[in-house]
Amino acid sequence: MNLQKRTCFITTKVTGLKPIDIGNGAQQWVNGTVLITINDLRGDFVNGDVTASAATLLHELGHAYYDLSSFLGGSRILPDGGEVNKSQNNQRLIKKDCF
Amino acid sequence: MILPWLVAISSLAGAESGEHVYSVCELLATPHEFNQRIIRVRGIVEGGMEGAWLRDESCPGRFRVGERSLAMAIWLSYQSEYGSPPPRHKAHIDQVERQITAGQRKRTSGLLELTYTGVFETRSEWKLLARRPGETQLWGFGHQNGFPAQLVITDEADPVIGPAGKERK
Repeated sequence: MNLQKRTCFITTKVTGLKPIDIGNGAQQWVNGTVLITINDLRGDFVNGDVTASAATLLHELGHAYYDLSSFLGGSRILPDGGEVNKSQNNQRLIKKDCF
Repeated sequence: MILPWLVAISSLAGAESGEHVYSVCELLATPHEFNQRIIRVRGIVEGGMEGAWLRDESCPGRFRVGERSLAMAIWLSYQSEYGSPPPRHKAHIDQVERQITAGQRKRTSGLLELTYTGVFETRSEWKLLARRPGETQLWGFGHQNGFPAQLVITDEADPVIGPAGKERK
């Protein structure tokens, strides 16, 4: 797949909850599935190269790990829904520590 | 009157001008009344690398359910959470997008206002996501489930690119 010079637009969301047994007959809902969607609408994120696309994918996988491993410590990629500054901070962290 | 700072794209105006155009604030004041209805809504398009949403400067706070809250904005998507997405007017959307791109080239910054047509979707019952022990969030729509509703877009019209921030009256 040629990712070069392609504008990407990626979002991550929890799409399913599942109950877990927490003892004494009680249950708690936890995140069951996470969906990463690429290029649903137009976007302005990755106008660059493969490295930028890879950073984007790692960013979204960080969200997925945070959402699915909530009781294992989560991820340093923090929730950023609707907050562009937090999203940019997450992206900077990926670029600083992963490349 | 056409203000000099506006780049109005009037040739694409009023694709379905007979229908009421809601504001984001109107829809989010009583979202359940519009759930899964086809509506028209006008607002300011925001977003970036992780999606786009529609907001309204008239209701700048947060959407609240009890002690929890989500962004006071409507997520924009082509994907329905409740079934197959409705057919969309792709040729017209592409035409409007080209006009927006051309208009944005004339400005280095600015707010984009747009009227969308689509199916409004919200929750009939609010559930909580478990983020971390002791950290929960309303199960909303869109990126990171951070929005109280989404619009499954079928068409868009009437783009206006205006000034941002302090330039804006």
